[in-house]
Amino acid sequence: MIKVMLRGGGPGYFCDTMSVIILLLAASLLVALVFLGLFLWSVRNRQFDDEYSPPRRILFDDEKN
Amino acid sequence: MSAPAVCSHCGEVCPTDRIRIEDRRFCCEGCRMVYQLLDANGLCGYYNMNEHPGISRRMPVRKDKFAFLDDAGMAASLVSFSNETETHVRLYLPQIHCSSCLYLLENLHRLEEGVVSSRIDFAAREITVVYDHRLISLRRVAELLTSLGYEPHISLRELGDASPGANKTLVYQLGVAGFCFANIMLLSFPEYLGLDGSEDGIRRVFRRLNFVLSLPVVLYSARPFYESAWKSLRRRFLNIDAPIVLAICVTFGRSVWELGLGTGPGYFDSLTGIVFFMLAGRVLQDRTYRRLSFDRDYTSYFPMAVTVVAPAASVKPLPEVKEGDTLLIHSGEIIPADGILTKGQGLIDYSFVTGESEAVEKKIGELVYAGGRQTGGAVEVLVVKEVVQSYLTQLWERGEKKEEGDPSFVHRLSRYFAFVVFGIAVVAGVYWVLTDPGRCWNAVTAVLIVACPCALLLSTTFTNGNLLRMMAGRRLYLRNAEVIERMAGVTHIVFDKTGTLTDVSHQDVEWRGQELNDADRRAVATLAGQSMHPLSRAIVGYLGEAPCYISDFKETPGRGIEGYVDGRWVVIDGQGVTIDGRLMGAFRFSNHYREGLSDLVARLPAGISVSVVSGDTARERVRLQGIFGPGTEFRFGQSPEGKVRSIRRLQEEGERVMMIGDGLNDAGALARSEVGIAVSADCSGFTPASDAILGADGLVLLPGFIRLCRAGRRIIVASFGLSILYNIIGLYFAVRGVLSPLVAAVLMPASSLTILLITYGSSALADRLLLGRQAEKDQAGR
Repeated sequence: MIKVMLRGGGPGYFCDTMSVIILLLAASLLVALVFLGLFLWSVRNRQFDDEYSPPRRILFDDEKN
Repeated sequence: MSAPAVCSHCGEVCPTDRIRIEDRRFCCEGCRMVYQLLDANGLCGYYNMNEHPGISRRMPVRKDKFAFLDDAGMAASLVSFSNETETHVRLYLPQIHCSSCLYLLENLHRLEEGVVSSRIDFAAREITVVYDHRLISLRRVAELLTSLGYEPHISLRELGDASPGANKTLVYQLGVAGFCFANIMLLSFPEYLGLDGSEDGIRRVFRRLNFVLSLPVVLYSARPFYESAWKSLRRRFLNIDAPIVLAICVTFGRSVWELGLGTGPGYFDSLTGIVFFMLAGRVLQDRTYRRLSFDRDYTSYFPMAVTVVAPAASVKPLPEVKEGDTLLIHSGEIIPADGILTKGQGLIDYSFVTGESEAVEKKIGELVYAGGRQTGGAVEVLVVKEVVQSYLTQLWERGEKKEEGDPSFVHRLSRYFAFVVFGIAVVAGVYWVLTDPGRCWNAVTAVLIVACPCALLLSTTFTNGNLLRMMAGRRLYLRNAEVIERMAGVTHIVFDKTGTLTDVSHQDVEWRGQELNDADRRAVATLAGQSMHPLSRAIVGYLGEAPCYISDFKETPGRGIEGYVDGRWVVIDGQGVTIDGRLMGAFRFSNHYREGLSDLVARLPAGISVSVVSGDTARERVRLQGIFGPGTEFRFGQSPEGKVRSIRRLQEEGERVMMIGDGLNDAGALARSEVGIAVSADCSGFTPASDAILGADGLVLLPGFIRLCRAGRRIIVASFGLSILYNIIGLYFAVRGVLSPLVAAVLMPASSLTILLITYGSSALADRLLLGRQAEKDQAGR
């Protein structure tokens, strides 16, 4: 996608180092924001409340009747 | 004698070997039933998980125990969600204790058709059961759980408002601060490494981004500091957060200023970093124990509903019980309201309410107070006072609140610190105004930035957080970090006797009378083995188990037990033991004191005096004196008010008092003392409101706990001293007006990390030296 933008935007503007850095910056911030969102979601979802059962639950066999 | 056989289900010692399935032995019918149930449903994998995974269930379930759950209104207060086919209900099961519980309880759907699924929240000891209400009722779910040995604890409290969930705002704030801090750090790197003029555009963008990223930190994450500072200012008192807020504001203001003028990158990295670290310390320190409650009131002690027999037979929610109702109280139940005994023989255990260690006999027509537990047969009680006006409820309301104590030494320290810093700022400012006014603004703001007492806050919160965690590992759970400091300053410890120094679940037994031969011993043990009365259990424990043939067994609550054993007529009652009409002698029972008590007293740090205040009679004085040695004051027969008075008298003499108790009769004293510690065999069980909850087996570690709290104080001062070193380096740059963001950015994490390492390392070391060694010694001694 970046390549497309680089070409499509014309050589003079999109190809200098600064705009590439800014583009990457925006992308990295976006990724970081996604992780922040995931963290907040997992806290809200009570995933850190019980640290005892999940690691044991995974050891139980799923015996179907 | 060979080692006593243990129950195949719960691992407890079997009082008799009559209860068995093939070669498996069980301690009670309940355990055997659970075993059969599990076996029939192919769940015996349960036994392979842990060696003795079950929980003893000695009390058979009464059939209509959960009848009140058929009432739609009461059921609704437990149900969290319901549609046409499913109902979700959340129940508190205090018995949950191991992975096998998890396995068994999450396989409920295989034991009972109608249960769709079940899920355990181990930390809260709660189960969420999803069931099909067209197939089974809530009552059936509760009965199923009870029959498995996990009786849901349904108290009056459930009728009230749902308790608010743990506050997660601080964690969100920490997350946001961490995110912004990390990104600002990243964006600041080019600035540290130096950019040449041709990259001016990038520099501008980075700086603006830094500003944008710092906004959530300043406006959202740092809020707890603003609130605390504002609160303290309104009370006309300068706490540690006030200078911190000042530093945050000055740093942010100067950074924006520099950004606007384009003169420098600002200190956004240091600013967000320090907020992040301080929040992390706060999260560590403010940890809460989800299973514990430090503010329990009578609502979590009383049952949710009671059986009413007159004027109309029904099951009523407790708040609706009125004067003039007659209640049916089964054996083992709590009397929920003051009343007059109208039917049956009362044998009421008030140990939790008054501290008397022996059950009190009540005859028809006598007044019984709420809060006692009926240990004899079923009785009927005519209510004379409504629940909210009962003796017990009143006892609770009367508990005096402590006055606001001296501000913590950390706050006092921070105040001196603040004055010194302002002094330096003023001196530097005046100096620069006289010599080079252009640098005045730079120098003054830099001093204020560098001198933020965040190091002090960090060392406090991290040390306290770590101490709390380590003490919790040894089953002392403190309400909050302030208790640590109060514990360090304790000069006098007051112990309650019943339930605190003694273990009420055990009795020491002594035989007084003629020598019993082997046959006699077996006969007496067999007879006593038939009864569930605590004294009978103590006799069996004393004589050892010896099964004989028994018939015509009869138990008269409050009187005694009798029966034919191997053709001989044996009676055990208040008089003693009679075999075939001949009085053989009597058992004497005395309190069973917890192990290591005299060691506890000997190990207390010098300067701490001890006294014992008990609601019980003085008959154990000699034994207590033997344990505590000379110089200990004893007060017996104390009412709850008497205990509060004792504490207040000590406080007037200038002592800082720690009260250690367990029952409701201690509630007032626990609240009145500087540190009130509630002792409980099962920490998630019921305890009166207190500053800390201590597992009964951790009582002997008390001297170590006190020393640890004192060590905590020294750790805080030491790490603070070290951080002042960093501050002096920073000030050296700051007063000269040349504090560059790079210096700030190196100093800030360096000092934070040193403090973190020092507090963590030294508190862990103190824990090992003060508590670990004692615990090892105790183990070796056994």
